[in-house]
Amino acid sequence: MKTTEHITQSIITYIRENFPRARQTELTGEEDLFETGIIDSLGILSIIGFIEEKYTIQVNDVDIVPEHFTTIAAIARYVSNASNGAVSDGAVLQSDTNSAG
Amino acid sequence: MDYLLHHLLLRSAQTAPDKIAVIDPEQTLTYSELTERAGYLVEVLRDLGVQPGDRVAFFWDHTVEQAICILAISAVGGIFVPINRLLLAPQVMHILRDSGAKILITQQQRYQKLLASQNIRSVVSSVLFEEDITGKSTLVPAAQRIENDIAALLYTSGSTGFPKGVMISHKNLLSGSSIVSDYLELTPDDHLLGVMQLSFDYGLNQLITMLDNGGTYSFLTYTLPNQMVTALQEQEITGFAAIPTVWNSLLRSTLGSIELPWLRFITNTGGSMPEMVTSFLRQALPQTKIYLMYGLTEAFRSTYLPPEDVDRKPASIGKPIPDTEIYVINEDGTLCAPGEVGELVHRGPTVSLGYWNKPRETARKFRPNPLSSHPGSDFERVVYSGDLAKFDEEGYLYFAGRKDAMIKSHGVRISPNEVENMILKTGLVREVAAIGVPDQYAEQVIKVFVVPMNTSDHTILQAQLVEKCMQSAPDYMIPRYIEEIEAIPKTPHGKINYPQLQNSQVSTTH
Repeated sequence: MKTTEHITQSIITYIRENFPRARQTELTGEEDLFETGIIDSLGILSIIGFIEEKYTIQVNDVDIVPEHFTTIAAIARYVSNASNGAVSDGAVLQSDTNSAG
Repeated sequence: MDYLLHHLLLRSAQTAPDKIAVIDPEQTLTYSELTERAGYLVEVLRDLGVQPGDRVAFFWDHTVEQAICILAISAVGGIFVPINRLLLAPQVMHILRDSGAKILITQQQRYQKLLASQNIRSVVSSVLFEEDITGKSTLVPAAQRIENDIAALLYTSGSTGFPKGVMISHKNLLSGSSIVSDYLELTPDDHLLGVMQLSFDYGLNQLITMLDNGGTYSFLTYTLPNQMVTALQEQEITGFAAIPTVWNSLLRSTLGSIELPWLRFITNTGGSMPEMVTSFLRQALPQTKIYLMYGLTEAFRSTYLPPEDVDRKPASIGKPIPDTEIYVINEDGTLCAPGEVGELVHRGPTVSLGYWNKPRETARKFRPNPLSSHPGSDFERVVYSGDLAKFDEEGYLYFAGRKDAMIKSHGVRISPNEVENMILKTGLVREVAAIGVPDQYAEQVIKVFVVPMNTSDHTILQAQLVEKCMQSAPDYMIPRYIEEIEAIPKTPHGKINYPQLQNSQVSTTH
């Protein structure tokens, strides 16, 4: 789905900006973030902080498990589900907010 | 009488051979099995000609093999050199060369990935892999040693240059274990969850206290904080030790929403705990005792705050551990009054033997007791920690910063000098200075100020610098921020003016 793909791209951009080791390889979104050494256990916390802020969602602590946080694609799917399909990039999210208000 | 590290294993194996000693996700070894695995490695090492005092390094995942290595190396009379599993080839090679290791024990996959391209055979005479160390045999100690002999070299970043090997004696290890066992009230029923590497004295001591008490130690490598909570629950863990960055990560876990009735105590060292984290842990684990501690590798452990004082003195690092004196000394070498900040000086049986092959650095850090009542006929050495501290009126200690510019990131002590050397080696900059800046997750991250060699594009320089550093250093040493400046500020003596660089942060960033 397009939105999940968008989310994947934003996470990739964030990771490339903040995790130098990610710049050495092409990221498809399917690679194991930990096994490839792209991020470590502290890095995942900063990614969680990023998606919570960007997509105004609250990641439930129970959900921070390998199933949802081992690959970028899995994180994107999680975000997409968490925001109930209404998730998108900044502009659309803002218009959503406007219509809600 | 138990006075060498492996004596602890032999005693516990005799008392309770079928008790579980060590666990990792793949293997569970009883005391008798651990003894036999170590016994086999003793034979292998002896056959390779390991002599008393020879250094044997291991570079391995955080698994039971590390326990086998330290015990076998101790029993063969050697000195074990644990290598942080996160290090890359240049640091590993530095440790092998600096320690003069005769043998490296490592995993095939690790070796292929990191070390195969290095000329490792010019440094060590043998490399042992999985299949070389897997076997069982009766453990027969192979050498005469005494308690003051060196048991281990633990590599730690000093304020200058490359990491230095701190020489830890058998006596240091055994004293450390008895002291900690005393105040944590450890028993054979204890089962510790070990997430700290054995290349850190803190992690190593957890394993040793369990061998000493006949308890159980579980190795865990985690990526998500919930994996620690699951282990605490499923393995019915009674004691758990970590550093502030790990506790901080547990804020994003299910800790607090599940019952952990077995968890008797938790301990923190490696940095002061933010009060917010302490109060979260008090709420999440109301039945669990919290020990806030302070120490440095050179003297292992110095202070702890008794759990009953945590609510009253949450910012304190506590009081001296048993059998230990802590002084706060001012510039004149005399004791500070309560409230006065001075250097923390440690005296006691855990004072290590100094730095391997570094007599000058050793003499600077390990000095005669300034308060000795019989100076001149006193061979005792105390450790000058380089940490600033003060006592309050009731004799509780408070950490007040570093005397030097050491950086603390991901729980690791990093010398600015080491980062600066790494940056200079890239050949891209003329001058560089590294400092630590606060970070929400990692305690501090590294910021470097650089004077570029050529006036080049800022973005390209940053990318090139980072890329070159990535090839030679683990992630925690890679600068997060790079700022170009025209000149590095200096003190009148020509040294980098770190306080000025730090102060420039307060006003300009975040």
